[in-house]
Amino acid sequence: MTSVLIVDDELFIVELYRDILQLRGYKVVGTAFDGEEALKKYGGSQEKPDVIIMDHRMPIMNGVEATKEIMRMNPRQKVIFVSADVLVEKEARDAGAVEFLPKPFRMDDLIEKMEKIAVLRR
Amino acid sequence: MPRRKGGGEGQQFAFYMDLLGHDVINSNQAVLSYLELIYSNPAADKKIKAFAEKALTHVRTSTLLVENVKRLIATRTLDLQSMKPVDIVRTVERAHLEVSRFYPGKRIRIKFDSKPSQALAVGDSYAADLVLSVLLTAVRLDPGDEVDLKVDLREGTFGQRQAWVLRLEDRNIALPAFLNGGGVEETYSQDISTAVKTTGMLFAQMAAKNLGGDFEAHALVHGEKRSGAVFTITLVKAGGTQ
Repeated sequence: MTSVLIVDDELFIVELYRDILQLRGYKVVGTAFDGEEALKKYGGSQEKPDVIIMDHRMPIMNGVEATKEIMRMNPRQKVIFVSADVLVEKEARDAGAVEFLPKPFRMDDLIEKMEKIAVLRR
Repeated sequence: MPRRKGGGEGQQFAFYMDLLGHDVINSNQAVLSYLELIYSNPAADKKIKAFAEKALTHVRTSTLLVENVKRLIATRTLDLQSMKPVDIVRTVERAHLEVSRFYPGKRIRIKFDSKPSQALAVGDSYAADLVLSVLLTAVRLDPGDEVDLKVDLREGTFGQRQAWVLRLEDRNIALPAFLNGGGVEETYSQDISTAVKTTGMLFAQMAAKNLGGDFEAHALVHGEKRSGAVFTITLVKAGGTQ
């Protein structure tokens, strides 16, 4: 079962991803509401999530910075970047994100990208 | 991305609009996704699915309104010199796919009357957004479930410059009377209630002008029995002479 860490500062978005991903058979192993919390949770976890869904515009530390730090800890980590700011796509990919989804997106598109990553892991 | 210029009050407005747009899009993401869940639920009956489909279209429209206003702000301060050329033929084809996804209940057919193999114009992603916006507006204004658009793309001139002229024709559209003269921008400043219904066309006209070209909307048949519509987008040819 593919494991996921969700990082977004909006509670209703975190709940949305959790609802849908769990319904589609993914295991949500953690949630974080800003980049710094994500780093703490990621660094402190024994078993790293297969995928991180990362928002950009968050308080304390944004998604691009958090992605850079996570990639420093684990260059093989798969990060799917999701943002309403299409202009950050290049920055996100440069930071190490493997996929970028501009909000609002269809959940099927997110699942498709999750599946692509899951296939590469097998 | 193209460089931008400008500042002052405009920048402040853009900042607030950016904040608002960001939060509206986040909310729309949630509504859109839960509606998708309802729509794809095998237990939901046909009527529920039809309602969900209508709601989906409205949420997408709300997102489009926000995006159009954001694009409007961006196009006001564009620097044409730093733009990459865009192929209008591919742009129309991509927009067709996008619009079909936007309106899953409609069957949208596009027929090219005249199509060069490639038509490079100035405009980067803004020209692509412009074409998408006009196509979306056309489909939105067409009340039928079967939408037939006749497209004609040919070389022309605009002022002293070489241009590509893209003409989209739909015989089924009832174009709002205020747009008949093609003076989109003026009408918007006079009546905001009608303005919000067709922000896509305001965006199209302002974007086209800011890209050095033009946009017009006209009824196909004039007079009392006005019917159909023609949308004409003129974009400056990439590398075209001044």
